[in-house]
Amino acid sequence: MTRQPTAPSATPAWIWLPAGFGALLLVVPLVATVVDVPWADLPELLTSDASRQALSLSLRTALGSTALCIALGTPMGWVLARTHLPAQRLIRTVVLLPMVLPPVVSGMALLAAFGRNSLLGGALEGFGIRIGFTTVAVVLAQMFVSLPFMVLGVEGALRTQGVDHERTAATLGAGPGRVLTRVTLPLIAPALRSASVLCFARALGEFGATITFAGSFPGITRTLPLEVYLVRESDMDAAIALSLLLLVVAGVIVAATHAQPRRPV
Amino acid sequence: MTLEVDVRIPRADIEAAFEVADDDTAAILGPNGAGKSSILGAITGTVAATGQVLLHGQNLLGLPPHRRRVGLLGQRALLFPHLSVLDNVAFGPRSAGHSRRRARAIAGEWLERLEASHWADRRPDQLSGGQQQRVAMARALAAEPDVMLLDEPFAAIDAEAIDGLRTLVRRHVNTTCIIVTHDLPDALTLADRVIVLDEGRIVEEGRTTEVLTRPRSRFAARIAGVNLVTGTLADMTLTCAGTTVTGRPVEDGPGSHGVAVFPPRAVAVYPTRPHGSPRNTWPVEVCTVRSDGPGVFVTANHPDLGEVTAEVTSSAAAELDLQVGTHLWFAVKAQEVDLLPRARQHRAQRRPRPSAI
Amino acid sequence: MRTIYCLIAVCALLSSGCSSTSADEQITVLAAASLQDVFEAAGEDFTEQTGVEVTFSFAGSQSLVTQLAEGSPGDVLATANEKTMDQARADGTVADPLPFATNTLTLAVAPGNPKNVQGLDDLTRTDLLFVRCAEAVPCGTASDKVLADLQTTPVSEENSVTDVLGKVTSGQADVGLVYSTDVTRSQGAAEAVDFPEAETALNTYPIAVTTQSDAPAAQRFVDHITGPDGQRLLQEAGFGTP
Repeated sequence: MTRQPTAPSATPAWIWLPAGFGALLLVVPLVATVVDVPWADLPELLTSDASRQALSLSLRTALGSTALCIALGTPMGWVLARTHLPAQRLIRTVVLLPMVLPPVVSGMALLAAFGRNSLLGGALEGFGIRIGFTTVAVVLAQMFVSLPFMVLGVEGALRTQGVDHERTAATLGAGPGRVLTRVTLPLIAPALRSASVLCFARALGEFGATITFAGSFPGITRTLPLEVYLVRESDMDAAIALSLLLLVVAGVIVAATHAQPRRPV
Repeated sequence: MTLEVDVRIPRADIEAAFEVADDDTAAILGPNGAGKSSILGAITGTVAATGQVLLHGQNLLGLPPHRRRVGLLGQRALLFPHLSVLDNVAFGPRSAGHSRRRARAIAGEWLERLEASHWADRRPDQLSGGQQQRVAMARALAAEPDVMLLDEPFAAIDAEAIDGLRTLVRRHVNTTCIIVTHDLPDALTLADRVIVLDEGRIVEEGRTTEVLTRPRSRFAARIAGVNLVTGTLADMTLTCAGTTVTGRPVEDGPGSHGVAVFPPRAVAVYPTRPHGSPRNTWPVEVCTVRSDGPGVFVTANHPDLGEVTAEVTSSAAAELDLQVGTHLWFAVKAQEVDLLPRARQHRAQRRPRPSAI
Repeated sequence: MRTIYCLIAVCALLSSGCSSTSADEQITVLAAASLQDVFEAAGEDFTEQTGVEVTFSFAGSQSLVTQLAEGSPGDVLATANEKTMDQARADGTVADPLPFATNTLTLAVAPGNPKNVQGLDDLTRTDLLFVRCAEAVPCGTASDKVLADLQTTPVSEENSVTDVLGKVTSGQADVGLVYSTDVTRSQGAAEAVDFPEAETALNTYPIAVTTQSDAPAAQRFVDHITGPDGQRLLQEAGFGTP
């Protein structure tokens, strides 16, 4: 193998120092976790009923909430990018707020909206529908924190994309529905994909809002992060093993988002 | 199908009324920002306009863009990057309700007509700009529009590819067509009529040859490469500010407003005031010097007449010390100057409709 | 390499800054979260009587034990159960713990007891949303003990007794199995329904001086808690005497 010649770098030497420290800050805890993993007991720890239940619940709810985020977030992004609502900026701010809210605050907000003592939750209770302590609550909590990512992704993609292709499609005789499905959506597909992956990751990692709003019961509301937090109390090894699992899933997600070929449009 | 346009676009202060006869091609010329593309936008439905755009007696302004049957080919090809060339061209037929197979067959025919069949399976980003534009043309034509709009279709294309594309347009765009252009050859080779737009108003309109040989608007003159001076017409002279231009009246026309038109090669250049016959001698100050082929074009400023361009040979140019700011004398023989009555400024009144419709 | 020396220097500066401010005695007490109100009050008394400044760190017992094992500073450790204290003793971070309080389980219900919960048997009712601690946490172990003979269907098994109480005070759940001190601390947001079986699952709070501590005041603080003043405050808060 011959070494590729490299062009002279314009990077100041001192930049390596803070960059290196930053990298250490991120890498050391991850490596430490992996080092701490009780490899011998790993299969047993990961295949315990509790772990399997939590993993399965996490995957199901995260997939479900991601699907719902796509179904609702895409139209929301469209509305923000393509229509002129009064107080558009305010609406955007409010819609994106849950992205930066501390998770517990999100949980309190959901409680205030869908809790038994709330207006909405009380009305639903009247119909015999309870949201708290159900898997629906988990999905709601996950959507609450991940939907803004979808909205932001779609809105940004639509703005970057512009309307030229859509207008062209209209001159070719395509009605608005056909333009949406045959032109707009395919054009923003890469953005849609990465936004979905982000949503899924956020949903999978959701903790605060779930524990505040949904509760914690095996197989119903106790997702993987909640399980990690709980077994930490009694069984550090199991907690680390589960953490490794989440770490691997996160790694796959990051790799998947960045591996996408970015085609100039 | 005759296209009758009479639109107002208040936001851009545009008011224009014109007509393109059945299967004719009209070129809209005008400086940047004159409102050319906005008028096309009003016809395709992307720009809000009042008034009417009549095509077979139906007002297009009342229809959604996809029902107008108005095709558009712009500066950028805007091919759909996620579709193959064939499927790009098949997009129109598919939208019209043809089956996938039928649509692809139609697309194949159009690609063949435009000599682009060999790219059918490629992705748009594998084609050059000129090739993409050719596919875009096939795509627009495959949708079988009643009216075709070309919005500076060659502006972003390499010079060597333009002639081929222009030939294709002339051969295959057989419907009523409007082309917006900056380019003299486009207008000469493609357009039956020319409409000159300035600041949102039509300032000149007529048969292509007529407008380009005897322009009455500064822009048409620039496009045609002739000098144009506006002023007050009287018998054999035209007075502009304090300066009188002598020439020969070409056409009788109403009103005293008129233009004097003369080609750059009719302008003789002297370092000092010339003696002898020319009636029109003006002291000028050089603003730009540009060489084009064997000739050198000297554009100079006269306090009353504005910019006047002279064409001299390169050897003559070398002797003249042509610097920006150099003071020279321009002289033009009276028989080289055409005096024309000026086109009416606002042509918003609609002409009587042909009774055939 | 140079940078590592820098870091060490910064750390040294920070730590010396902490310990050298007061020549007088100062101790750090790590205590279970459920002890917060009582210990803060007892701490004020203690400082008044002895002049020793007390710094508290309240957290879950398990977290505190882990922190100590990881080298966190602390002179006194008070946990909410004996199991975690045993672990600390096994880690070698404490010696000779002493029981200083007990806590009994009780049923927390909304004020006025609208669902008319009378005792443990009511937990089998299907019209009640019942929340308890997860088995893995100390209050869950105690809950298991009293619920051993009952078929209950909790809707949630929380990580901490505070979370259980929160579900009741927020109205999400109808009844929660918590410690009586938690209900006292809720200041009327919840009401306690005591049940006799609670006696079988008495939870004992142990306290100990850490092995790293060289402050004589640490033992004096333990004495203060186990002494009359400390015990009075504990009883006011709903704790029992061991």
